[in-house]
Amino acid sequence: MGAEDAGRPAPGDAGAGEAAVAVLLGAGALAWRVADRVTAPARWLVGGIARPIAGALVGPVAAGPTAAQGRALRAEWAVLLARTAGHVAREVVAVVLPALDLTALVLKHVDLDRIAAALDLDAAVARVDLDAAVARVDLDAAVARVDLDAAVARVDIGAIVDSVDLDGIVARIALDAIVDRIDVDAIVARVDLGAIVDRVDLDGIVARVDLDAAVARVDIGAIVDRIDLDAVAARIDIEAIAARLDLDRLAAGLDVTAVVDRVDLDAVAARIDADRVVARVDLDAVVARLDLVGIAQSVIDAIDLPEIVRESTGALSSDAVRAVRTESRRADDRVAGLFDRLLRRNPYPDGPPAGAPALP
Amino acid sequence: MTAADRPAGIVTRVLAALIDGVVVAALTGAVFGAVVAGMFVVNPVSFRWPHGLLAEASLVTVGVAVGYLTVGWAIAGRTVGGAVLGVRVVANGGARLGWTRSACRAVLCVLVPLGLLWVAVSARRRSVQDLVVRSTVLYDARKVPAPRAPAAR
Repeated sequence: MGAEDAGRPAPGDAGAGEAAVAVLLGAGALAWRVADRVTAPARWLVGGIARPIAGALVGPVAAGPTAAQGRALRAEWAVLLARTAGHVAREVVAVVLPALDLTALVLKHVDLDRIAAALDLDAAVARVDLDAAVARVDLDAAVARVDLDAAVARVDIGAIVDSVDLDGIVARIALDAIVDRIDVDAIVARVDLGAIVDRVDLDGIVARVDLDAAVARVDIGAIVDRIDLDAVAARIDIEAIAARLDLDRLAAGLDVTAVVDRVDLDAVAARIDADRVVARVDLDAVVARLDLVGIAQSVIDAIDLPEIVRESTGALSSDAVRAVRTESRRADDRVAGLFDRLLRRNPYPDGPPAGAPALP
Repeated sequence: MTAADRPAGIVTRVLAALIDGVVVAALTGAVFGAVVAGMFVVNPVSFRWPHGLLAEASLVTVGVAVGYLTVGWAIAGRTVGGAVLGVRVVANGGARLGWTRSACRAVLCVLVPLGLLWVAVSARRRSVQDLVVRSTVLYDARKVPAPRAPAAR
């Protein structure tokens, strides 16, 4: 970059427009000065030589009508001379300007700072039709020439972000209106959910989740009420699920006693159509497979049926029965004693048992 | 041997046999009534009260008696008569008699009822049937419980 360019604003800078205006004004001032100098001889002829001669010739008659005519003629000539000077100046400028280094002349002779300081840039800018100017700019081409990567690389994104009042920005955003204008369906349709899910560390996420607290806030009843269980059940491949289950392991971990304790067996039994169940049972086959004799024997052994019968015969325990038993046993002993005497034998060869009647 | 474990005498066992006879008669009557009722239901128009069925009735009576005695002795060691008189039938060792020996003893008791009288002659109070199947009839060890007192109000 040269020394001259060092003082100039960089392209795209905010002061570029002002500098351009200053240069144009400077160039206009230089052209004015050049034209003034070029037309100076003509004006000298008109003002310095011709004026005294005309005054000497026409002075005596200046007070009369002739003087008035003379003044009118003078005015016409002045106009004619001005036109002539203008034509001459234009021709001279057209010849001289191409040969001049205007930039060098402006830099050498024009105090651009002063000019710029004197300029009413606001008024100038106000007169500019910015919309028309922007409309003429080929923004695409301009952007295409910009090395956005390099520009972005020089940007301190962190500092920018730190300086941004995100809360304030967000507070001013009408999120509801934005969301209403978003075609969420179209966005979701373009999202590769499979790829996203593959990149998610579900284990890590789930490990950080307080599932107990989350579940405690869930209104299970409301969720269940909204579920079309029939439709859900219709979509479930029960056979596939059952094929994947290790029923033995599940059963081993099941507290069957606790489960049975929670079941209202009376209500369940009340809902069972026992007649239909029995009608479907092949009782003949069941009976044919049973070891009825063995079962009966094991039942008799287990329940001590003799004891039960003896207990049941307690119903017969009345004074009459006890009297009959007592009298019959006494009669047994009398008859036995009678036969012992007839047969001359010892009724107690092994000694009298306890409770046996005494011998007569 | 306690008093309750003593063999039952002739009077007690005859009384028990008489009660069992009444039970067998009742059971036989029930069977006979059921058969007659069945005949009436099957053909009520031509139904006539059966006559001249002594042989059949005797056979049914024997069968009912044998079955009744066998079941009672094999399962509980006693029949209704034994329960009333407080006696029970056991094997010589004191164990339950078993189905086979109970059936044999029942057949002998029905066909040779007079064998029971040998109890009076036997020093160990055993009948002919007891000698054949090696069984014993003992007084029941359980005492007859007293009647329950009425519940307090």
